[in-house]
Amino acid sequence: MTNATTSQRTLQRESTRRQLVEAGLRVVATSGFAGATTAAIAQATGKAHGTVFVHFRTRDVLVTELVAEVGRVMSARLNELETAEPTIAEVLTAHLTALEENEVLYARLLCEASTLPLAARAQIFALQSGIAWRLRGAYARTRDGGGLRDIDPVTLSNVWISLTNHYLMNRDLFAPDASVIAQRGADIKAQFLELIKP
Amino acid sequence: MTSTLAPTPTLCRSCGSCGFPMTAPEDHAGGDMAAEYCGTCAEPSGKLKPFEVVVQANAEYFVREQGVSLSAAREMAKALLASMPAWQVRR
Repeated sequence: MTNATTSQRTLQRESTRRQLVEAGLRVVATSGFAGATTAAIAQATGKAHGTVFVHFRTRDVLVTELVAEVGRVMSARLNELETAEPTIAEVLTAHLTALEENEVLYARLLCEASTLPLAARAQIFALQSGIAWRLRGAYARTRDGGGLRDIDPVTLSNVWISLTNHYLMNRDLFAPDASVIAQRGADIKAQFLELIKP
Repeated sequence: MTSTLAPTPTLCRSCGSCGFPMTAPEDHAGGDMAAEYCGTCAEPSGKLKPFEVVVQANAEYFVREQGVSLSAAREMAKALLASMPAWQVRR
């Protein structure tokens, strides 16, 4: 087999894997993780059911990859917007931007978290830990100047994550047929910043 | 059909062991931007630390940042690492 053929096959393989992930995310967006069966994902790509298992050993592996993909995109957005030493407000804004851009998928992910494979849940916690880590750093810098109330950093980040998750998990009630982050994000951020004032 | 996923920002490299984004030299093992793993998961030489050490470090990160129980954090860390390229061979 020539190097060119090998390279072409590798590209084809990566392309098919990418198509499966993108199709999987489309299926999750419309039908949730519960509806994201391997058959449904294969059908969405127009490929044979067995093709899914060539690239992902089990459905759990595929689901974990779907969650990881959402996490990678959100994490990249957070890194892109981050300055070397962001303020708390800047971290919150970056987080809200990442949430708004991925709102449908992320809300699905939160609502179905307890039904997901542990590796996928861990991906969610890893992403949330990244937010918490950024908030901890921003809080430490701001608190030193006396600009914030004395609060446990874990509580600080858990309150923020709880607040955003609450709106996202009930987005159909807070903002029917619209982006809840677009509609309420600025208010949520303002309320949170008010809460942590001295 | 439009893509479900948001327009992809420039994806930074992430640790092949734990997935942590690596943007600055200090994020990489040994401060080497070419290193595949982060400074938590690998020695300064770039060699991966033992699995158990990496599990514990990642679990402590979950505990430190979100206050989850250590036992739950360890289970999540093990599951997370098992899905990462660096630890696939362990399965």
